[in-house]
Amino acid sequence: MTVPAAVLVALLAAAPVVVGDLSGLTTAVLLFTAAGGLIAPVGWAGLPSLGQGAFVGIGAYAVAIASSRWGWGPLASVPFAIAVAAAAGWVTGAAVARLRAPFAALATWLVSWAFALAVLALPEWTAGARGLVVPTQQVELRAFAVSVRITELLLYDAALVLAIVVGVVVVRARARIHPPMAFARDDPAGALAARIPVARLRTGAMAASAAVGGAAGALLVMADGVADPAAYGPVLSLQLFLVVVVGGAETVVGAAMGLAVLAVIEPLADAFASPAWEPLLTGALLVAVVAFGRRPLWRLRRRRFNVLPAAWSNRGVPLSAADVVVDYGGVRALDGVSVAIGAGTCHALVGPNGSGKTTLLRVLAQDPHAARTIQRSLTLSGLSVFDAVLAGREPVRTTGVLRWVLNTPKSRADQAAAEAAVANALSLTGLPANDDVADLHGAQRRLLQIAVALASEPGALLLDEPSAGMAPAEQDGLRAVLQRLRDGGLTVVVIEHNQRVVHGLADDVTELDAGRVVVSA
Amino acid sequence: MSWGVVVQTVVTGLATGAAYGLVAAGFVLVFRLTGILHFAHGDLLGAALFVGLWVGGGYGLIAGVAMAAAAVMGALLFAVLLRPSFRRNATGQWVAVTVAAAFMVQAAVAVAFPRVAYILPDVVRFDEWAPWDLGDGATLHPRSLFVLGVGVVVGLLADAVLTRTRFGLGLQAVADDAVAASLVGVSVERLVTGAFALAGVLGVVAGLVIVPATTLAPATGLLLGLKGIAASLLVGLRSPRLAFLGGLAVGVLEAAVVSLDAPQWRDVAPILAVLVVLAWRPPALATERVE
Repeated sequence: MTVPAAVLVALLAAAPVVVGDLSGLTTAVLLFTAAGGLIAPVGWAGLPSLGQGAFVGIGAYAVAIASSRWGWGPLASVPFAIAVAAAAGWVTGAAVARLRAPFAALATWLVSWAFALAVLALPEWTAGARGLVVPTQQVELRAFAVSVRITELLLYDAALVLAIVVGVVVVRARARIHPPMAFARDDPAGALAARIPVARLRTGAMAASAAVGGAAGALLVMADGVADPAAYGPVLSLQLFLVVVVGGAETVVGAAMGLAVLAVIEPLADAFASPAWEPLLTGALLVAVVAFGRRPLWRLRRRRFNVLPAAWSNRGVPLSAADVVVDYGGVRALDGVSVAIGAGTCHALVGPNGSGKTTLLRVLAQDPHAARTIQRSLTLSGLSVFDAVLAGREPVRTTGVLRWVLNTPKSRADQAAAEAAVANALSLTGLPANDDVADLHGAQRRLLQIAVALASEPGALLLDEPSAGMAPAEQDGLRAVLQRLRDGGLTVVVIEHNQRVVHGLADDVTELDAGRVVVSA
Repeated sequence: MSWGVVVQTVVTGLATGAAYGLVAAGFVLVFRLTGILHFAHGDLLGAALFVGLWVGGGYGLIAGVAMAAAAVMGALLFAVLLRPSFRRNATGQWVAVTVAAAFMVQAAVAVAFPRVAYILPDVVRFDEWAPWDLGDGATLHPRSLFVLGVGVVVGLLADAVLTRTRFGLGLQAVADDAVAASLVGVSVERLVTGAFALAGVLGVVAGLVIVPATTLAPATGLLLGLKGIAASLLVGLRSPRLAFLGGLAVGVLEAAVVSLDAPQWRDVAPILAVLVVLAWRPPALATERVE
């Protein structure tokens, strides 16, 4: 991987010697960069962002306004542009984080249009449809009494550096942040139950992608010499989105391939159609490619893991609830329920449907040491078992993606601890680390949830009907897993009707009916 | 602000709003049936108006051709381009297809109609009618009442089609539960194709009544579509009927922005309003629990 990348970079660095069209090259590199920014929100977090064109535009106009109206040099205006774009992305991300994917697309699409229309509505700032001319950029280094004129070649090199930095960061960040993001993308409710911070991950992805877009826009406007309202906004948003959709939104290689497809389509249309018809033919080809393309050109390849489990030790915590009342819009689910569960014991919750078992489990799950599972199976598709379980570690991770990219010692230690916990969880549940989650059978999918919960090394494990849909032999397997966990010292609370699973295993039983404790023994 | 200005603002707002309402009703109809957000809705109806203009003739012929064109284009969009992603429930893909189709249609219009703007003939020569004076410089043009009337009547007609015909009942069945509907023999994809066509016709009617007041530009349809989308979201995409009311609200909001002497914000204001709604109180249909 390193050698081809180095060759590619060398080729790109030497490209201006061979290719005459320097500004075309710069534009291509910057488009690739802006598209690369979409990998996290679109590919990993599953937010189909149609707003990247606006963020590129915000970066471009921030530089244009700062340099032409306030006389700022690039050393001030470019960071300013990135900050403004990142802030806009953060606000957009916070707003769309709780929307379903189609609505995230719609909201970001409206952001693109709002940006384009606002540029036209504020001519005193943006010079409206005429476009805002950017003065020739000069970097003044007063300490050394030199001033450097920003030439086309310098801009190309800056664009190349930016693209490489973005590419490296994306590739590096993936190992850390792709699992929880993809988990939250495929099954948001399941991710919440596993205490994965879905909203924060999505907001962060949008803000980061907007910052990248803003940086690309800042350089783009310097290369163009003018902030042209037609160059940014919805059309650019769509182009960048198509780049990642066609190529494969999860990887940098996919973005590069998508850009290559777009770069081929336009000259192709050019060759076959007169200039007036060219945009139409381009559009038609693009529509055909996305409408009938069955799968992206490049898909994420799974990492293989072979981490050995360490010694398993659990410190179970006691759980208790005192006189709990829970109402669901007029229906009283829990009506003064009190339970006390001893540390390291197995406690079964029984009772008819609607008696409040799951609600009580949710109440108990508020304990910071508790991890719970949900009744249905997780709907994950594009993850390996190892990565899915690794995502379950997210709530107790001590370092984030920034430190991971910088490869700090703390981050390495955190990752090692996380991988060891995953290995333990997998060995306890007997799941195959490198299989695709989609290939697991029903009983394994139930066990997967237990493994996901165990990855955060909880003091108490709360299980909601874990044996549902299991055949008798599989139920025995589940029982063995629970036995091992209880014997290891973990507190286990289990909602279970199936005597085959809990009989002789549960130390205590609480029976609920209509939100009240009937029997506690 | 005097009462005359208030009346002018509200009535002209309701009139354009009725047109937006028709666009919005089609948008919501398609969404309720398929879960697809029809990003190309506005561009298709704009293109249909241009097709009508291209064929030419009197108002009746233009209107008929435009409606037919909108129906055919809407149906083709679904039947040919969207069906693969609809079947596989591939969100990113249908988003890309609808948005790319919107730009393709725009490019097609730009090729065939290179001028900045065109005149779409009127059903009667409203421009020869004098506006009524409401005092304090406020006026009301008879056209507003015509637009409002057509909007309400067509809206009611569409409502009747959706609630009283076999086609409409089939659509309701699909919207409630597409799988169950297909199991009892409802031909889901055929009905959805029909709904795309119906949405196109409703949108074109909106264009036919309000565009003659100004001009027909390549971006006309797009802006109408954006207003329709804004209106749909304001009412949480609950039903075509409510979407029509949402359209009225967007129309009044827009007229108020113009009355407040900020006409350049006319097109931005509804979009910003929707963004605020989506960020602040997103409709239940649009959200999932993430916190």
